[in-house]
Amino acid sequence: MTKLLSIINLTISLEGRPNTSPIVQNLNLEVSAGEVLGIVGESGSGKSLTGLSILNMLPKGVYISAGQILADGKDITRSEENKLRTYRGQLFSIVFQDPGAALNPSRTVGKLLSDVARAHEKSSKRDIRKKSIGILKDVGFPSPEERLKSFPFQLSGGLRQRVAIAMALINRPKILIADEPTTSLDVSVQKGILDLIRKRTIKDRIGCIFISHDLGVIAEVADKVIIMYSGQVVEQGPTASVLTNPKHPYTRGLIASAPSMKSSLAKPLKPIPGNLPPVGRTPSGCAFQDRCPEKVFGACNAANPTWFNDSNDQSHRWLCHSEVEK
Amino acid sequence: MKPILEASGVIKLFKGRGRSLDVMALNDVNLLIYPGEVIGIVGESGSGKSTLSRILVGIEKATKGQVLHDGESVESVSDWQKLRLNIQYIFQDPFLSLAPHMTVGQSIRDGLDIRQEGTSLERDNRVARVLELVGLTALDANSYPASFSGGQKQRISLARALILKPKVIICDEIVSGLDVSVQAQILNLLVELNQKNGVGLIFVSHDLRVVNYLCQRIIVMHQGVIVEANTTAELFTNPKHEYTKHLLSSVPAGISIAGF
Repeated sequence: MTKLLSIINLTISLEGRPNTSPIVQNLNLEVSAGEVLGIVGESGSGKSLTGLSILNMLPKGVYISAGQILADGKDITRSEENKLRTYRGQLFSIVFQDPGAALNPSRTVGKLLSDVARAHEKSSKRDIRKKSIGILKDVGFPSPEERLKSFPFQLSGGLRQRVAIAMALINRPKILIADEPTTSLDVSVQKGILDLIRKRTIKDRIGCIFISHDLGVIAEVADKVIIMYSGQVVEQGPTASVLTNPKHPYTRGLIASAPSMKSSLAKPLKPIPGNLPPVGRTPSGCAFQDRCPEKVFGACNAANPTWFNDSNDQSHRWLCHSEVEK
Repeated sequence: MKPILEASGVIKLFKGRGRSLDVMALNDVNLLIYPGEVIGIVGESGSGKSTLSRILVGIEKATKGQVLHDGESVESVSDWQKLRLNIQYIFQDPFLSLAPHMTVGQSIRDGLDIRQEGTSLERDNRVARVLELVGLTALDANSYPASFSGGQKQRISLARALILKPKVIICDEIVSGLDVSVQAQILNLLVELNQKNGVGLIFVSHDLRVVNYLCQRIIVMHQGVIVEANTTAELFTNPKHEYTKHLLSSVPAGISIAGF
């Protein structure tokens, strides 16, 4: 499989705040063509910042303090503005959570798509129209010819998100970042969008990063998964292996606290006690130590945790102090 | 048992500019809610579930039909305070529903102050107790909402609803904005309140997994109409209406996650 994206030791820090801990620490990941990588984490875990750092879209006040991002063989870590113009849309694209906010309300679907298409290649109106209709068909948009003149507000949430995905894909990018693309949608619409993202990823040989806080969604869409807690990757591996055989206490805690259709009051949910550490105040040693039910006093706060590999599947790894299963 | 809330023939029409833009948000909704039960209202956005829950407490007026509490219409009760004493409402967004310039203690105490219940010291003690009930500390009463996380704010909203010891709390998507680990804390707290204190809950949510966990009875709404109502077990194992089946098939099942 061709490797499309690799992130090596990425660290994102707060600007002008030297005494705070980085908000993303030593993150490593790889995405190959035709593969969906899920990033799971709670708010403040750094999952969205990781996605934004690839597009060089980090908000003011945070910056990449170390590490490297390689996309399709190119180092794009701190790209110049003029290079970014060609990269964004063609090399990598993003789909945001709320299509209502991401689409310009004063432009029609046709204009939205042609804006993006024309930013990258000069072609005739007819060609662009053909291309737009083609991409709308690819994303499962019903009767695209008639809807080119619709404004976003005339479309349902699900259709708007399909337009946003069409805009992201119209220039055939190699990498697609989907940041909680179904969180603001209804469950009945969500499934269609998940299927669409999977289908396009495989068909167009895209490398997709799918960011979500919902383990059920990740289980449905992702081939492999990264679990983030307080800026650190704490567990990673093939989705099936991580979710059915979770090793890190945080991953176990997440699974035990998420209700499923099989949960009932007879088997109460087990919430993780406590709260996430505030941004920039990740404790030294293990990030999860304050909430960990399996904490070993004197070990977990003293030294940095180490990576362990699952004996059945070497690609399933987790960051902890003890390998022993409890 | 006498129902605590009784909705009959409730119709809600939102007027648009011109008749074709009118929205029938609720179309002939009939519903009985009994004390102490946990009832879920599910449906997609626009199905009318939030409108219904707002009409149930009287903060939205029905176009036709009525909601009765204790023999009186909730829209025109003679004693507002009595209604609020029995039925409380918690909103989805804890960031918007707490007054930022009031300490948490003041916000929670307000209900008692308005009713002039007990001495000032007794009120403070009740605030302290209700804060502990929802898993915060008595000291938190002196802080402002800004210093709390989303999950903690939702606990404060819950404490504010609980201080008057209501019989029913209407919860409109109160865990949707929360992280799963925090969501589970709030859900378990609601279960405890129901089982130990007998508080009834009307739980509005689009998340079938949450509703399945929490509720004894479920109402499925679609385009302003109740399309199916049944006990949770029956509804999910043996759905009758096409829309219910469609909703159930859309829940991400994924790989069955480890047996926790």
